[in-house]
Amino acid sequence: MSLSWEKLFDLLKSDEAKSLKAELLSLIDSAKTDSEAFLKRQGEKIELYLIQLAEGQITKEQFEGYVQDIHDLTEMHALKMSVASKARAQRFVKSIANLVLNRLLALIP
Amino acid sequence: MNHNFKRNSYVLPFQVARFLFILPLLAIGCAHLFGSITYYDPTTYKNLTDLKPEVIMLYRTFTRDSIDSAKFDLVRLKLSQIYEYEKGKGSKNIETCKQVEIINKIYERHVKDRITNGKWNQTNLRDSIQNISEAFDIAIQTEYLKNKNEP
Repeated sequence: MSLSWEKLFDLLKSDEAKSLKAELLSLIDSAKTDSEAFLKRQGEKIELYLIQLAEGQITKEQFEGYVQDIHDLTEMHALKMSVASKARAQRFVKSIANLVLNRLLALIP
Repeated sequence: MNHNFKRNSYVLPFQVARFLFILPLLAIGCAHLFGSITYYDPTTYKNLTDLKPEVIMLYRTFTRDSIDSAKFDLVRLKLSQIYEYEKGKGSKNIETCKQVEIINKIYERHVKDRITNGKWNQTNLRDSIQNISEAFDIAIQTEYLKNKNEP
């Protein structure tokens, strides 16, 4: 059963619209089945916005704005991942300093 | 045989010493590769958690006919103050600084939409609150991921 947003594409008869619909379906499906909760949620949101656009609940400009929000949130998520890996490296360096330089070397006569 | 044993007894401490010499260098190199970051800052955490409900409260007024531009400006001011505070921590805080910039960008987009397209319906309100809340949550979680500056 096709969703309401897919019917929106059915109204556009061009080959480009058909190809775009297939690509969008693939993108949404891959995001929705992603193991990472963040990507899964963004995939669900894109689908929701497409439905809202097709049903006239939001304007084309608002749809564009919400998709831009997803783009920005994804950038923020990437920055969060960067901090997570830097924090792990920082903990590693601190452990090395504590275990090896301070404690282990002190034990070696 | 005895000679070999003697040689091994010198080789082993040498290997340990080499390992002990290389390990800190490896760790420092690793930290340099990943770059260093600022420690967890309770002020950043408080600034973000305090502002999030204020922005949500403001968005709830966007369903009304009238708009209060003084409130828009107050949130703008608070976001600018948070940005300057984060920027002041230097290059080690680049991620949080960029995140605050993005929150500001999302906020400005939503405010512009309210001003140009008129009052929001329940769908606009729900979608916009979800996105701005998520933006604040990511920045709050990012701060919480940072290590505590403890001995």
